[in-house]
Amino acid sequence: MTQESSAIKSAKPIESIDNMLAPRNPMYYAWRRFIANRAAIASGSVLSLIILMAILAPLITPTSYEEQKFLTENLAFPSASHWFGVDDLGRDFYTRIVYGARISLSIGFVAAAFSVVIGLPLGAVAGYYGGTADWLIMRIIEIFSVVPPLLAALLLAALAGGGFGNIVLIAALFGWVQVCLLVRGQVMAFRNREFIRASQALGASPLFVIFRHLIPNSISPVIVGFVQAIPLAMMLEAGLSFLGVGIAPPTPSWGQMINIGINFMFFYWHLALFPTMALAVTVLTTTLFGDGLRDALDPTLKG
Amino acid sequence: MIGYVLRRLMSICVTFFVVSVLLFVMMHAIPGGPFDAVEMPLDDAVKAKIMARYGLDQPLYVQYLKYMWGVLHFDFGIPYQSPGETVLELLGRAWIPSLVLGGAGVLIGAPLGIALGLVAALHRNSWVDYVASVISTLGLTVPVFVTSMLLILVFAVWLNWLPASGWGEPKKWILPIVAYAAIPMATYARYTRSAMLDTLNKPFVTVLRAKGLPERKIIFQHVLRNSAIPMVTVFLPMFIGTATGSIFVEAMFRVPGLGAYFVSSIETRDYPLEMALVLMITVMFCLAYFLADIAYALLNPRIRLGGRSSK
Amino acid sequence: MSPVLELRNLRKSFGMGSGFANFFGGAPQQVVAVDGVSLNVMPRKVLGLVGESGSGKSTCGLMAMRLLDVTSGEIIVNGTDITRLEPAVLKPLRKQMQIVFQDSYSSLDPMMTLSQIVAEPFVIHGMYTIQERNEIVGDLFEKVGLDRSYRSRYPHELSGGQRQRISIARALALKPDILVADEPTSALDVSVKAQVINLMHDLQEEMGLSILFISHELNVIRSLADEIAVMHNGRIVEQAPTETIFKDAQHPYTKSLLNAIPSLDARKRVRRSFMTAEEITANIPKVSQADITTTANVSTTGPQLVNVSEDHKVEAIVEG
Repeated sequence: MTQESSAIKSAKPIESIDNMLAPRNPMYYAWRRFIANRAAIASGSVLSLIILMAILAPLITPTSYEEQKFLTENLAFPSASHWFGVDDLGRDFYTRIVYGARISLSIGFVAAAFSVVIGLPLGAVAGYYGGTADWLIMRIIEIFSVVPPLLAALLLAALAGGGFGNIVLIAALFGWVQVCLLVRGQVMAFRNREFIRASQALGASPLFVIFRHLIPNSISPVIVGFVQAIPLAMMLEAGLSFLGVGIAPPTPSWGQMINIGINFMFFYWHLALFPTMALAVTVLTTTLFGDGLRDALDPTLKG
Repeated sequence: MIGYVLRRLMSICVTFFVVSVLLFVMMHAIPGGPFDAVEMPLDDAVKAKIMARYGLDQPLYVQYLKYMWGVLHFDFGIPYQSPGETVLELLGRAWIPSLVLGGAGVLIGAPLGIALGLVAALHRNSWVDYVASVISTLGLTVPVFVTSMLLILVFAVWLNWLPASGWGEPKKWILPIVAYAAIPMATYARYTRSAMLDTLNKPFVTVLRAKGLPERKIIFQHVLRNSAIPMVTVFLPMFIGTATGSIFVEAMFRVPGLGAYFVSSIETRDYPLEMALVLMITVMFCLAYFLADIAYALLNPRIRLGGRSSK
Repeated sequence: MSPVLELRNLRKSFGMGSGFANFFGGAPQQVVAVDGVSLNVMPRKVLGLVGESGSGKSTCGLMAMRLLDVTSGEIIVNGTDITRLEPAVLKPLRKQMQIVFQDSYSSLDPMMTLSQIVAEPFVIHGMYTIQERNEIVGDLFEKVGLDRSYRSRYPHELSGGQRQRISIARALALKPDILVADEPTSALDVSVKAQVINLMHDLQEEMGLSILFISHELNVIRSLADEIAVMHNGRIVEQAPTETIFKDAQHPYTKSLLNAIPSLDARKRVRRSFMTAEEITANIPKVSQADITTTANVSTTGPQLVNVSEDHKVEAIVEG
């Protein structure tokens, strides 16, 4: 051994305990970034308010949404007793708008959940196995990208009839692509990280690697995909209801109400204005909230 | 490069044929045919004759093959709702309003968006930037029929400046065009702003400034060209998407365009019209994506000179 | 004594481009990364594998661990040919061999705590109860010089050297017979290098490990390896005990590597001349059959690995 080597040999490890800093999960930093984004916080607050109103609907509305109690005041403009006025069938419009929130939000969330259920495994498989599996899944995605989603949704809705369940499935059918692409991208980025190889060297099966390592590391894109799928699903539902193949009356849907509102637009514009604003605000806040989440969780996912 | 082009072409063709089969099957799975309408109850024998005449009594795959053969010859059949003309003629007629309004929307909105993005990037973090941000966010997140509705309410109902519906005179075109322009404008504003900010921060711009090049030249000759790639490649699909008419805008403004005809074709179970519409639009999107891919490959020197695709 | 790890005539070639690309594009290009490498690692010994980037040394290590498919050749661990075993059959055998990577940051799952990372081998092989795992993980921490209080921390909170210790702890959890270390110190600062090398030396003696130490840093290998094999362009060009390499290198490539080691000793600072690839090829030693102790093909067509003495192999052209 030369002089240099023996000097190396005698170096002792110096490890000290640092008790002052608490262990920090990576999620903690994401939370901090999110808080700093004012638009996201504002949107989140408004969104929470809307969700709250939807949940507490029976408590904050004077009547039910289908009772035609006010036929004598048909088409009345907003007043103290009817905050949003009365619609063309004598129903309190405020009530219908609030219940409409229930429909939109629930369809949005459930459809987004289904989008994740479909998109997550497909994205993980495409990202992990690559090759033929990936090629196949990308071809399927291409098919979905080339057909204009609205037209196809319209066809499907006409085929299957409207109704809550069908709309949710149709919305999920067009929402999974985004989630799949996000997950696939993340999995592909992590696929060749050494900790995956280390796991394989230890004897882990592909399934173990996917579930124990790749999916937990894909939480960010999944959350982002989920939250971004909500406004898309809501708009699809509103669009289909607008065209008459979505949620059927008397169940209130904002899209459906906008359609009716157009007919009365010139004189009784309140029937058009309120569902439009309700839809716009809800979609806007969900989108901004989703963008805020995306920026907080992984700024590299941007555009 | 040729290899790349051929591969994309094959891929797109396969996609198109798969879509056409799916569509065909879906369309004919809708229960009830076009001649089951209750208002015109037909005698069974008469119905059978009509079905035979339209070829509706044959097995599905035969119908499909016959249909696709026709499509390759640009023969889409005859629409049930107006048997006096071919589907092609009807669509040609119907496309004009969509093309005019949608096309104008994109061709006006895109440059406006670029200008907006440019200004925002150059005056970063000022009130101009903030306003531009808000406008582009709204343009992208607010659904198009909400925008249309608000436009109608404000300009037609309350202010009574512009007419709200119809297609005849140019005055009626203004509101729909504004509605169509929202998304292109917002998209391009975003792209331009972020691409410019990215490029402006790059060291080569500092070098150009040190060389003494006037700011204007730097922006137009260097910065913009570098940022151009994503903007060019997104243009064609966006144009196709808008120029084929939005169902909502056409419904709200009562424009007799492609969107409106599509809705009516579903209601009346007009198979030839439905199929042709979706197929045509699909083909156009396929073409648009294919060309966009090629454009991207051409513009990006890394792919053009690299030889092998990175896929 | 039979070797713990035996690599026989390993060959690895990569075809460029995906299957579909080749269908329409040109002919697929082949890159030969490893071209007929044979190595033996004896029990309780450290074999250093040295070469520049792209020489194929890491590829050898990955193949030995069955993390890369072998184009041809055999891998034999403790007498068992594992080259083409099915994953299910291979799994229990994996306990005998483990690997430590160069990039300490990407070697650890960022979403797992340190104790979860080190306990993963037990989870995969279904060993021990949760209590027992905690104990053993704690012992492993101590063994690599980290305090037990680090258990609930995350990888991003550690320094590079500490992360490498965790990687080592994880690799040692299953008490392997052979450890493949793929450039474990290349990404570390000089003083931390020394600590990690020391650690590996201590562990090797304590646990009776064999190590295949892959690196491009000759001075690091010198302090740890018993024997060194030098790789160039996918082939072994020289192999000998450590000091023999440093004192009596025969192959021009080895000589140029040794020449390139920076020295802090002013007396030893000579003007280094670097040999190009052509110069190296031109200077391949030529030996006659009489000089070597193994039988070889007499030919001038290509160099082969021959023994110039009992434990010293050099790639040379054999002439009559």
